[in-house]
Amino acid sequence: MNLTSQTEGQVLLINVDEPRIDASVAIQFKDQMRELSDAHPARIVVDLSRVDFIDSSGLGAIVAAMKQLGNGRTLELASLTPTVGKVFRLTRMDSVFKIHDTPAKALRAGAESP
Amino acid sequence: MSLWTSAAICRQKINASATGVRAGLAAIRAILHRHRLKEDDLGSVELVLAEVLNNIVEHAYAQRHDGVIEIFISPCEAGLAVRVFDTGAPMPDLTLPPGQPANIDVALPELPEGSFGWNLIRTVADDIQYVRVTTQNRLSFRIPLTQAPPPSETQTEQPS
Repeated sequence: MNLTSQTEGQVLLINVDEPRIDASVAIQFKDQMRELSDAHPARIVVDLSRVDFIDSSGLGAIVAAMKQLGNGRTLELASLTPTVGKVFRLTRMDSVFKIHDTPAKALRAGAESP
Repeated sequence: MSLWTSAAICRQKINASATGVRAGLAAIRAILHRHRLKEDDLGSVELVLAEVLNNIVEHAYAQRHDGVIEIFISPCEAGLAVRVFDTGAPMPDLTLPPGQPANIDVALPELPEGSFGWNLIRTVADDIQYVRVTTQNRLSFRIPLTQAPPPSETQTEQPS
């Protein structure tokens, strides 16, 4: 599981450099998300542009990654590929997560709000 | 066209493990891609099969690591007919899970992290049937396609 992160102003941008978040890597994904996000205070945006596929275990791991943030911190998603977007729509999880077309739009959306 | 009379365009035998499922899905995707399935349809097939196969690994074969799963895919009326066989434990009460949508209208700490699988299967696939034949689970379902199903003849199968 290859996750990298960079700080953009107040936002921690996490890149998922993996083609799949599935049952075989779901726990690793959740653990690495915790390590990367632990010390970060506010908004976290996850760039999923390289992820072609998630299954329900992967979806559960993304939900778990948001829940383990706690303390009013937010986890937002950017650049969902078609099949990943389908999983979010079919489970209605697209109404739970803030989803941006691109990481750049996610950063701009943050800058506009007070 | 009857659901089961046309020849399978894809037959896969996979090890019942998370890595076996991953490898099997990649092989099936490659075969269906050669049959010119569109990306949207490939995604539907992969999603349903991933949920079905993960459930077999986690529940039917639970603690066992020597399990085998067989998958057969044939063209059918406006879609693909899929059969999945395993020799793990039977479905509880020999009945498929209802697959109710997970309740997501809850506070953040209560959001579900699982139980999406059968709802996804039932949302995308139809004609879902399950029978237990002696020691074998046999699941069959249809996945509707947005395009015409591929012809059943194939170069990937050799007579054995």
